[in-house]
Amino acid sequence: MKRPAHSFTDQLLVMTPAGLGALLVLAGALPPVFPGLSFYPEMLVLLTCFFVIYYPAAWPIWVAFLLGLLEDLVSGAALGTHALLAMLLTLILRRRSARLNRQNFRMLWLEIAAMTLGYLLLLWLILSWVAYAALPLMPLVHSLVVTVLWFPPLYFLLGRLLPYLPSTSMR
Amino acid sequence: MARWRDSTSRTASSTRLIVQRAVTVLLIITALTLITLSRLQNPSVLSVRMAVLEGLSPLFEAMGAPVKSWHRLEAGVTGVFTTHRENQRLKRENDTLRHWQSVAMALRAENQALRTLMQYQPVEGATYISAKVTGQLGGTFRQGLLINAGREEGVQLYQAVVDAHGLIGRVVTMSDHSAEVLLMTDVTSRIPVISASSRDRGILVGTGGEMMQLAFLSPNHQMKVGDMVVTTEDGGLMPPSILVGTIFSITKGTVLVRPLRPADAPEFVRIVQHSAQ
Repeated sequence: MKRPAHSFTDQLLVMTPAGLGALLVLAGALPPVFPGLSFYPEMLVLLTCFFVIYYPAAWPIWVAFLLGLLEDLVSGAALGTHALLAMLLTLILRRRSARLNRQNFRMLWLEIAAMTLGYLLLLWLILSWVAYAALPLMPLVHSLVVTVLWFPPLYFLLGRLLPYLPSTSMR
Repeated sequence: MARWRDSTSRTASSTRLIVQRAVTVLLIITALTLITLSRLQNPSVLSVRMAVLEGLSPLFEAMGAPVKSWHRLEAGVTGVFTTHRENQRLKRENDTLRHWQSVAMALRAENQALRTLMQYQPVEGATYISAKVTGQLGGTFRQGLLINAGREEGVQLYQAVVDAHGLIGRVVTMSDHSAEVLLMTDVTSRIPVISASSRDRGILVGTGGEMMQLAFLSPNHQMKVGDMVVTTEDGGLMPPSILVGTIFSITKGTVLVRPLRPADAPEFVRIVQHSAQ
């Protein structure tokens, strides 16, 4: 049984996932450990999926917006692109979170993969519009595979973090 | 009393809901406006973006320090085991370079004589601005670098950026002390190039991967696998004759070019200031 978040420390703890998200998004600007091989996923998608389903209090719409803007800066994408997509993903996940929360891991993974695909297709569409040209689809496929493969370890690690977070009325 | 408390709490929650919805709509409109302004290359949006990146660059450097240390350690350990082989390779390379040095000196003398004969006025050489790479800007569809030289250091938009191996990319946005370099492998990168041997011209298109593709080639081009590809002044964007890569494969009209430089990001780069720019 979790204790409710009342104190200032608890309020800070509730925002831990957003802080962690900012750090992980910034880590996208690091040089890859193996030169020429980038295996860094669309971290914002994974974090949004996990926290909106399992700890929505830490992921209000403005957090999705701000982290999206940070991702835009780090990834060099047109400003507002990831911010918009992260907000849309948050809104969609909120509607489905009750069902997703009850699903077994395989089904959840499958749904996350489908949502990642949708996110990347919209990203491709917006960035093609911004670039005045249709961008190649191969980077999308690479990113999709990497992101989907990252979900299980991230799910396991973030799942270890949840018991340390205070309970909130939104859970 | 209880009914009054119920109605107050209902009003408060419905007000909260309305505020939440209004904030959501406002943020979506903000994001859409930012995307549209980015598409129109609005200078204010670009300068705010670069100013924030400039502010974040010390953080990028601090976070990237362990990875860079790892790369140095890895290179050091590998170097210990490959010293003998590397020494042999360098000796062979040195012999080849000595031969080419004598050829180059003979050609320079001949070139000088021909220039005097033709009364040719050579184009002024390029000058360089050195900069440190402070961050890697990259996502699914973007490959770029953040460097610590900008407007104040004399950097201008679209200038070519090189390292010891040749061309890396070009400057696309900048602030006072930072600039973003779009790598030539980025999917939106387009660079006019020419084959050093067959003199066929084309546009080098980034694919997002290691290889780049040559577009707008003449159907009767004479390019061969292994040919060197260099930049050309066509369009006035790039200084001429900067090494780009070699032809990797030619299949069914698709010509792939492999960059000369290794895949890892350089620590330092030079921005080419060409007199024609």
